[in-house]
Amino acid sequence: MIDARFLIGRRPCLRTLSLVIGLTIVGGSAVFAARSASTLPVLAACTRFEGELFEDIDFQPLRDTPKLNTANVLDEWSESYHGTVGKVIEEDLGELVSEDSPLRSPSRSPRCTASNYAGFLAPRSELKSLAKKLPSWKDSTNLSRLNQLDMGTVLLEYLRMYECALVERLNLLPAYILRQEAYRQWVLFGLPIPKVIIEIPILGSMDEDERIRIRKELVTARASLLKTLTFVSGYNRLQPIDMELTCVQRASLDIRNGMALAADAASCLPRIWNAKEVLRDFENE
Amino acid sequence: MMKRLLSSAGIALALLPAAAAAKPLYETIRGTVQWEYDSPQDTVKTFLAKAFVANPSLSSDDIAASNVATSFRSSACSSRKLDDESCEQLRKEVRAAVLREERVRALGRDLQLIAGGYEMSIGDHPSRILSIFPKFQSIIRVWQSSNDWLSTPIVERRMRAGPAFTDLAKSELKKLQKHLDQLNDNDPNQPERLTAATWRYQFGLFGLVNREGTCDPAMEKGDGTELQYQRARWCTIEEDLQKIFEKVRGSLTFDPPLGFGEIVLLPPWRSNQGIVLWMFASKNPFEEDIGLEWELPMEPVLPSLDCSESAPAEGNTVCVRNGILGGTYPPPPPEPPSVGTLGAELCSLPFSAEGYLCRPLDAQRCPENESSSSSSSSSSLSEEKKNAISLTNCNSQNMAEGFRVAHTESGPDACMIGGWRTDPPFIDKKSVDDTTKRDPKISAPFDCGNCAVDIYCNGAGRPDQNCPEDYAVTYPRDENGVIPICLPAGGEAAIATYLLLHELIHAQQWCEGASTYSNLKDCCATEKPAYLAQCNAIAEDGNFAGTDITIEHCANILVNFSCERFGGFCTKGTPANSTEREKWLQELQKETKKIFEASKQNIAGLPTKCEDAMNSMDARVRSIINSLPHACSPACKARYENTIGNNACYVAQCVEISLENQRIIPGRMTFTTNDEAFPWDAKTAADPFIGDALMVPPLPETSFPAYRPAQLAADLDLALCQQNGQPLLFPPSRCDFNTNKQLGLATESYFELGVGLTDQVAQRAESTLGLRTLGQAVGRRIGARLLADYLAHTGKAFRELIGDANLLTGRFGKIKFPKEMCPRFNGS
Repeated sequence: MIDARFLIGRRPCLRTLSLVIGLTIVGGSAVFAARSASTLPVLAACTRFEGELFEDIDFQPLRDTPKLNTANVLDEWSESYHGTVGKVIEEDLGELVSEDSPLRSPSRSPRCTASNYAGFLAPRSELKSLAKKLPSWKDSTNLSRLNQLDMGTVLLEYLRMYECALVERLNLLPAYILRQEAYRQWVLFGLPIPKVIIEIPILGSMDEDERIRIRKELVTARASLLKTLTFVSGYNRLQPIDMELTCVQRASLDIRNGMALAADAASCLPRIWNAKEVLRDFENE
Repeated sequence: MMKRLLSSAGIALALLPAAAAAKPLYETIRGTVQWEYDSPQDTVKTFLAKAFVANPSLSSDDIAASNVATSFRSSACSSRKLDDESCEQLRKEVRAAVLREERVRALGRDLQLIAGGYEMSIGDHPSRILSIFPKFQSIIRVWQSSNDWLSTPIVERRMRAGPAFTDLAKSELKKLQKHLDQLNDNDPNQPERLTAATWRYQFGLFGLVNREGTCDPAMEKGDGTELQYQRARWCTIEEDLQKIFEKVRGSLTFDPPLGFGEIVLLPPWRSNQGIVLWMFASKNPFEEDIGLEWELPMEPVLPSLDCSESAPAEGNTVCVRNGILGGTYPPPPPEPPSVGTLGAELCSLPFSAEGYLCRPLDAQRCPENESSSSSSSSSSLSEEKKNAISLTNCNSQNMAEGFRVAHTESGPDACMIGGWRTDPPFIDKKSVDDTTKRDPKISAPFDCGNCAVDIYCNGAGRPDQNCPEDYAVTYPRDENGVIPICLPAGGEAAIATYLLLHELIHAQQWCEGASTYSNLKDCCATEKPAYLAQCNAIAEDGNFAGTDITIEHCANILVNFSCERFGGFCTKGTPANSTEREKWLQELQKETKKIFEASKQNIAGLPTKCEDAMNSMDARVRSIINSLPHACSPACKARYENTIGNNACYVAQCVEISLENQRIIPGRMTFTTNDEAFPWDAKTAADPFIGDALMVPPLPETSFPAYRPAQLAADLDLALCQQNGQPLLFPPSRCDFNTNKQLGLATESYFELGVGLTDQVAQRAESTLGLRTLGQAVGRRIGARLLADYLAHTGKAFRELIGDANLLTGRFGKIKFPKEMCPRFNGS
């Protein structure tokens, strides 16, 4: 429910003009012709109207959910993006074994018998499920080559999708706000004509707030991810070595056990030679 | 609108760096970025309100309003009755000051992120996300034979695991948590005290107290300079750490008892702010410590801006109106003690002390540009050296003589030094009681062995088997197979345990059939292992700390000392003339005196007198005596720690005994083993079809790449200037602007000329920014390349060793013992 207090004391501003223009655009928008993946450029466009390739990604318009009356698209996108990035990073760091210990257990043991690094540093679950959503990674060939060290690349691609969604929304903000509020009112109250048209000043205020938030988010999201990746890549440069050392530890224990058996057998050596004399040859059986 | 504003403010406050509860990594960094975005930050606002010179002074709200012209006008200008132009001028100055301060602090955090990320994986404590060094230690432990410490030229850091101390000091930990919380709660917007306190104790409390003395409560306030919190101390935190250490250390028991040189790693504890408490225990009190560190070291100790609660010293000119002014360089932090000494911060930590920053490396062949005796005067080398920061110091002089494979008349002597077994020897199945006198009961070799040792104090043996006051003597094996060892009765000149170690190595040699030496070469070969063991023990007990004496150097000096009577030096050969000999002798005496003085320190508190050394025998000495019996004689037991090295020793000794005691050439057994059954036996060629040769990979040369940051910076500057079509200029910012380029073009008007000149900087800004951004990536690649080159080189030998060990153990399983004698190889 739109708060009635916002109706009082608001003056129409320039934003209303853009709203009218937005209305025109929305009303007159043509249906985008769907293009197949093969016609897309190597760096995929981030617009969400380019066919089914982008259906699985996050950052969708407002949808019918139980909390539709208070749902905010920007909040949802922000929570989804930062939540996903946070989970991928934490999975890479490993889980704390307990609250009062800094020791972390890796979410997966290294596969010491892998034949290449792609198998040795197989991607963990959060990274893999994120990569499956991204158009440039979801291809089976690319997905099979994904390894945990590609985390930075995948996250940067995800950031690009997020920024594209934000920029696209920013460029057509009045139209998007109008559409989303119309949708909300249609679903909640069944209004055939969007009541929101009457509440243009409210939309103007929403537009202004969202612009500030989107601009802040565009600056801080990239800076946050770059700084995080700077930090993470510092210790990740030794992660292959660390995992190899774990494998060497295990191999060393196996060799130790093998040598112990050899030592056990070697204790018989002094006696065994005694058999090797002409007078004591054993016949072939 | 209000709701949104309040919720944003709430989110911003909640996401301040180093807030009350530790957050996940990404969330913490994001919080810092958002906090930095909301310019100006509280710290800067408060500072500028004090430091910015204006009449009347500006308030924090005025500083905050400088973002927006209209807000600033109403906040700061209306009360000062400034016109629009003056107001805008003032706002720009304030805004410039705000941006400058914020840029410095943002840069500090960025640099910390870069450094912190790199250091996360190379730490001494198992609290780091990657614990590479503890893994190295455990791998070494599995591979090493128990006598390896006797022959390696470095002090082995042996590790043990200890129990978690959460259960041992619960109330003390709660108190520490409370005091850490109080540091943060004093001003939640300024966590600099908590940040600084954690960094201050990163190298350990006891090391800090050794270097700087006990804590004074006045130190908590800071001295009112920019680096005040880098030098401050927090006495309540130090008391808490001390109490935790005493409580935990008092509760620890070890079975078997801790030896010198052993470090106990305890699992670290984590506070709710993401601060880690770590602790090392050891038999040597100088190696024990307790300290703090950040789990995720992202926040640095930034230059302090506020001195309202500080205690500035007299003569402090930078603390003005409770703000700390910049523009003056504070006194530099004190230099740490020389590298390699106990308590020298980084080098006091157990793993870091083994690194190349903390000790010189000994290698047989040193790379040319790292050789300590390099005397090259070529211009290219000096040019290269100018731009090189050499982080390593390689010394090849100590390794001049090289290693000789130990052997006896009958062949190689595997693991001859001994010290790898734990079962004590018996004589006629009875345990051996060696008193301080010559024991008549020790009158036969140890069971399953070639010899026995009888250690006694000077004057308690046969009159013809005494020893001088300062030296021990090992006499040859007598007719009963007993090797007498005489120790000096007492005195300060020598430590009895170290002498005993030395002599037992000789006993091992005599036991295997070696005889006394009569020339320089044999003297060097015989004395070197004994002195190596002796020097290893002296070093392990911490006596060489604070000196430049290394184990290899000590062994070489002492072996020269013993063998120079044969007319030469083991490490230098024969002197050319008597003058040179005199010079060598003087240097030798000087170095020998240094070594004896160091060992007399007796940091480990070992017995100095013969009786004490025998009655409470050192575990290292006992292990060598235990290894005197043969390992593989039939019906003889051997007990040792299950490691690859010890198992290899056992297998090797079994093969050795087989080769020595059994006939290896087909033919009838003669009276003695390997005697000629036929006249042509001695000429029988080795059968090349029996067995395969396994090439043992050579020890890798330690080689670190030269680190040339000055050269790299110069290359980047050159690239910047080349991009702008200019030669290298100093400073490189001059490459951004070339007056002649514009002046050379004729323009229609002076206006266009002026615009062209000013536009140059804007045109080049993009390419400069690109290069600057690229610089970080290029720098990282160069660093990764240095590391990859080093690891590929040193890792290769280890990879080959594991491969060979794998091959060997695999083939063991495929051995089929023949039931018939092998045919003779007739040479074709």
